[in-house]
Amino acid sequence: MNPFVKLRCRLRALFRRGAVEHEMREEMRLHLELLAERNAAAGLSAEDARYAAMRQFGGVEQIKERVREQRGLGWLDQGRQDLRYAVRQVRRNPGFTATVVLTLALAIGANTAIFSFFRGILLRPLAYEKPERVVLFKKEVGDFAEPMGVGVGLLAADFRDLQRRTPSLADIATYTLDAATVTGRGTSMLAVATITTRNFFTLLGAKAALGRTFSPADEKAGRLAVLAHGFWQTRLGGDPAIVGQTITLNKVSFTVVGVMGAEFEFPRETHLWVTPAENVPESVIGQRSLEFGGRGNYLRTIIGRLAPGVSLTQAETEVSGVIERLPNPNATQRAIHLVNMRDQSVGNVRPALIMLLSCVGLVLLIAGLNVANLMLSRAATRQREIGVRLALGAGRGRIARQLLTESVVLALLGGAAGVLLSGWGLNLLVHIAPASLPRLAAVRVDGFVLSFALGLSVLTGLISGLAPVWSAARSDLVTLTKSADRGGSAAPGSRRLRAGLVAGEVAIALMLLVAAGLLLRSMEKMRAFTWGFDPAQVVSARVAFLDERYREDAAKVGFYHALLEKLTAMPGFESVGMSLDRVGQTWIHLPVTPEGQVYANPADRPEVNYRIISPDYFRALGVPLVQGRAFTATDDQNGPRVAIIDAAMARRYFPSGNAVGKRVQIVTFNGSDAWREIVGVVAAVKSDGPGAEGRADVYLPYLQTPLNSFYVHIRTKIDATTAGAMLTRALREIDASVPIFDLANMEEITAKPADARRFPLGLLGGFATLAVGLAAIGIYGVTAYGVVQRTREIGVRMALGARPQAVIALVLRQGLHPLAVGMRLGLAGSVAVAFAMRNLLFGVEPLDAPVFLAIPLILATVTLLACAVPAQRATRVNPVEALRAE
Amino acid sequence: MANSKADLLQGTLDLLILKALQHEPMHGFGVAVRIGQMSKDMLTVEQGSLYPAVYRLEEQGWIKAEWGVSENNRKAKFYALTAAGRKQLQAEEQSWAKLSTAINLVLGNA
Repeated sequence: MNPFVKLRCRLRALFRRGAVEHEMREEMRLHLELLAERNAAAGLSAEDARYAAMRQFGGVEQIKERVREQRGLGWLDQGRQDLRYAVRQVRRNPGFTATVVLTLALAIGANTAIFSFFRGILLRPLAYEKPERVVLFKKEVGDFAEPMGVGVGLLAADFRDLQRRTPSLADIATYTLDAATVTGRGTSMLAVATITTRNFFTLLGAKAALGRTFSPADEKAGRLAVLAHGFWQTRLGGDPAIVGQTITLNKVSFTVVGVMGAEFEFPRETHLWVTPAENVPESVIGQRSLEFGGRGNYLRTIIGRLAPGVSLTQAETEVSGVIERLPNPNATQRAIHLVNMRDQSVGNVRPALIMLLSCVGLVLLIAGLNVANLMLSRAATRQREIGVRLALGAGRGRIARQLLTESVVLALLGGAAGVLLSGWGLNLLVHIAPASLPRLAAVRVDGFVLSFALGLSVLTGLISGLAPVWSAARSDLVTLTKSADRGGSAAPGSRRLRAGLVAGEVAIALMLLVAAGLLLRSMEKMRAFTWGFDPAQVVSARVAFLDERYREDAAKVGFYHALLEKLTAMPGFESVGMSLDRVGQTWIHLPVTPEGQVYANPADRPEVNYRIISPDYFRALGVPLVQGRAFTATDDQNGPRVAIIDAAMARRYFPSGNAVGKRVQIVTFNGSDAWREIVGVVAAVKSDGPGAEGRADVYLPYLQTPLNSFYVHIRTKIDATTAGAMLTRALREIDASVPIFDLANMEEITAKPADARRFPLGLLGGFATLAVGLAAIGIYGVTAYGVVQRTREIGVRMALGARPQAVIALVLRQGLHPLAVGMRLGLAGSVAVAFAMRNLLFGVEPLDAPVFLAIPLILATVTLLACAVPAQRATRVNPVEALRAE
Repeated sequence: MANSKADLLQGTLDLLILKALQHEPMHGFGVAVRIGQMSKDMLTVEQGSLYPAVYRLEEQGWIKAEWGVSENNRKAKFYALTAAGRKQLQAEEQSWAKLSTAINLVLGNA
């Protein structure tokens, strides 16, 4: 047989339905006529001949139906019919439709918005080739506090060794970030430069939008630069002629070879990428390399691309093996982990986003349960219709399909409304999201997200439509038609099912509320977090004097003294301190050996924050001195090596309170691992911020370890902008080329971790509220429906003298049972949720008593109110009317 | 798909229809009449089986329909064998012959 003939016949039957039906009718009429003629010829009267023919022929319609059925594509045909019925139902019950569509629109809208958000940040491909094959070298696997993988403790020579000895990595590159003064085109500005090896872009597989990137073949090409799109646009006017010109960084000139596209932002916040003349970058442009046993300067970050077919673990083993055998004098050396770049780029927001996505999924689940419930209630009122159709021979499968079609149509309407809502919601999300979220610019609604919404709608429709189908399939014909006749109570099975759905809603709402409650408590705790210093009225900014002139320590020290002197003399500046890094974002973590401790394995030494400060630092930040003295101007290169430790460290290693006068051994930048005398103990400052492991601080005087960048902290009543302007003015008088950046109020900086939590908390709070609302509607629906169904029973009871209280109790019992079951389930679920989100919490135990007491109480109150309304209404049933209504 | 005189075996109706159309195109009524004539009224085809079978054969591509004019001057749908239908008829005749021989052998009537 020919499949095309068949297909053509079926398609024709489907699309040219009218013509096909007409032909069939004609054909059969002719047949009847011919039969009648033959009968007439046999001697019957015209009338009798016709009737005989009709008897002989049999049921015309049945034959037609058999032909239609056999013609196949019947399911499509029936689907069209189901769709027509569904649309009719939807239009005939506007109230019902509106409730369902609104419920679903909210849930699907929220899900679509969060999913777009999630996709933009977590799932959309990074702007380079196969990011899952690019790895970052890290000291610790979970070390997300160091987004740039700072300080793996390797040196330039080590990098060359690594390059040679790790075949499991197809290529490795290294880079370091630093601020540099960019001059050229008549302006001078501070920019963040990524100083990198020439294979950086080829390793990532990233192409320039304009010009070209570096290539490993640029061996003799000298110093080159590639600009970031944003920097090129805003600072250099987006002039394409920049390619081929030179720009100057810290008075070293670089030839611009290209501009990257806007989507390439790696490392984040980089303004330009530069490659020095020699292939392994200097740690700071224009600065002398810091020699470490002849093996070159410190490297910051190493990235690699896995060779084809090599797994992350294999590469990690190989790299660790190579590093162990390196002749590296650096004592901080330890096992190196490789981290997938994709994980790294979103690492610290991933848990929060996954939690949000699960929560919004739960909201959808509640909405689905609610819709299932509504559908069940309505199916109950349609029992008679279904009964009649079953009695007339409709297949159960056919009825199921029709019910499902209806719920899918409703869900699609909800989904369409939801997509509209989500566009608006997404704008809101992007607007209120903290700017620190990576890749925020990539968030948008696209075809993929729309298909997600479509899939979600269909799925919700199918699942929420299953409950009525299940209940219809279980009920038998006789009870269906009978119960419908009595208008009495629904089949107990369906009532149980509805109660079960409501219990589920209550349970989920409870879980969401508990999660929101725990986050709220975390944020409270974080707000109350004390850093150990007084951030009020402290303005701070970073100053970097990167010019060639500051190469020598003496020049750095000269600049430091000049600036300190000028600032201290400024009116309104109460005290001025300097430090290498800022609390909450410490940079250098090194191991120390306190006197009296012996470590067989150097890796066992405690790691501390290595903080380089000026004498007045403690006064400026309000850190109390506990013992001994602060640094003075005489703690300089000529004086004995000194250090100050914090109270936490003093307590731990010098428990008898005799820390002052003891010594610590610490390896410093210039290679010395001299013992330093402890001259003072200060109160412990939580320099790592809330939620981190909390390393102790060891302070060293700037004058003994001068570097050409530091933060200036000014205790003043003057606001940050004015103070910043004053600072700039002071700088200009010393050296006009030195810019300031990162100007901030210390209070803002310390509030940052808490602020970062506000966003997920706000969202989760919104979801939880939505969930509680939906659950309340669900409970209300079930009890109210129960009242309607039992109107007659209530009427009889009241006619027989039942008091209103008894009626209320009757109704409440119906609502309370699923509530109690849901609460129990929800509490169990909440414990699981609380433990699952443990690392999102701060300062709160997962089983926080206030949360676990207050939340169920709130939920119980809301749901009880939802039951109380229909219960109250039940007492107003008029017995006479209730009985007569039958 | 049977009558009181002889039950039609499943699938034999297709064969009968194809056979009835072997020599000339016919409308549905004609097919029914022809089968009756050919079987000396031993077999009558019920309309309830005839039309579904005819539509099925058309879908298989063994017969094709064309509108023509009937003996009483009315528009009628005439069915004609296609080339594929002819081949099918041949095949079905052969397999029927084999089957009936075999059954006769079993029954000891040969």
